[in-house]
Amino acid sequence: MYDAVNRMYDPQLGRFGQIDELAEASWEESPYSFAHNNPILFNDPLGLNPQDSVRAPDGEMVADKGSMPEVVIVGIPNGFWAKQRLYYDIMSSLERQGATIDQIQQDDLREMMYRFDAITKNREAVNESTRAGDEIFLEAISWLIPETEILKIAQLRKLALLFKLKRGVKDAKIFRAVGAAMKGFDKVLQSGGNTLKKSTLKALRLTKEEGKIAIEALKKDLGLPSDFHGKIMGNGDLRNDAGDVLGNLLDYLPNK
Amino acid sequence: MIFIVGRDYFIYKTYISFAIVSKEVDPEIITSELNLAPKRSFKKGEQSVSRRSGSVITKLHGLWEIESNTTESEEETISHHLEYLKSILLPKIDILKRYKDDPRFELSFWVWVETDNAGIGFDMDANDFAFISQIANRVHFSIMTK
Repeated sequence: MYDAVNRMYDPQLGRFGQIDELAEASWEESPYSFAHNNPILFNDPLGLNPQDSVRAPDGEMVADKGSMPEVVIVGIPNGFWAKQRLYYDIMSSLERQGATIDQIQQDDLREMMYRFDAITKNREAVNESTRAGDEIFLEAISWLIPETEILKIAQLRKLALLFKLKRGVKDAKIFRAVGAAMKGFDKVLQSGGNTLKKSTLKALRLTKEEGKIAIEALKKDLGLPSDFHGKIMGNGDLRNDAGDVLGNLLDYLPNK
Repeated sequence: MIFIVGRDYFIYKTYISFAIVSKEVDPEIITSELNLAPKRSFKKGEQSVSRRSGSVITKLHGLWEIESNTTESEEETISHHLEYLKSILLPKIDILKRYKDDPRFELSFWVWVETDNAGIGFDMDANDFAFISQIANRVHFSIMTK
């Protein structure tokens, strides 16, 4: 058995003995598999979902942009303020929908918001508890990101875990100074046209059939002419030339 | 011995909707004039939030819509949907003709067909065309095949 930091690897079986902590990033394969069952092309020295080559040498983040084109790591010098801003964003979103923390039905999210609420109201506690704050922050981000971005979030968590591994106790500042943001939501995937391009389908992780039904259902639902000229954004939003959001393709996926 | 038998029929999921779109006229006024409740309607400026992106969606025009029930059938036909819409809309044909001639309104039929077949063919007779052309500015066909 080899120690792969997070899991033990059994070379005779060619599998890990424990489940991948980041299994959600690779739904299509077994959480016990090693290096995508392809040890010639891949490696997994940390036992954490092997497909990219994210490293944090000496606290410096290096990401393989080829495998994570839309995930960008940004420094947030005052991490707490970013987290607090996020908290208020969630709260204002809830208020717009006429809801409060109490009315959040998902237990984990409600608990997270209570914890964040307590932290936000007590700066001193935050300063003493940055690790908890960081973890809550990552959890909160995962709730704000559309389902199509979950894979990227899993990668984001991987980055967080790598930072945890790297920082130890002394390097807490590294992790504290790193927030994560998703880039690409404002990217225009395509303009005009009645047919979704292959690149658009790929970016939104839609099959050709799903894409066809979604664009037709969206136009029909909104009463748009078939030759309507709009822009499809990285998050699935359809915008007109003035920038108004008319609808979201992903809201029209069949059977979802 | 195992025999794998392929399916020798196809399913056609179909419906037809009829929509009145207007930037100026409230759908409630249309409902009132037609004395007919829409299956779906929204007003210009109405806002909602996307379930997936969380973006605020603003309606740029009002919409009043009725729709036949979606059917899943082995029959390659949309006639039953047209018959249903005729039964509802023909008694209101004079008002609808007036709307059609009013540039503030856009009246359209939307024919929706999803099938696991590679294609579909269906007939529409002269009466169907006459009915459609009397009250609609356009017809849109969404035909999704495998």
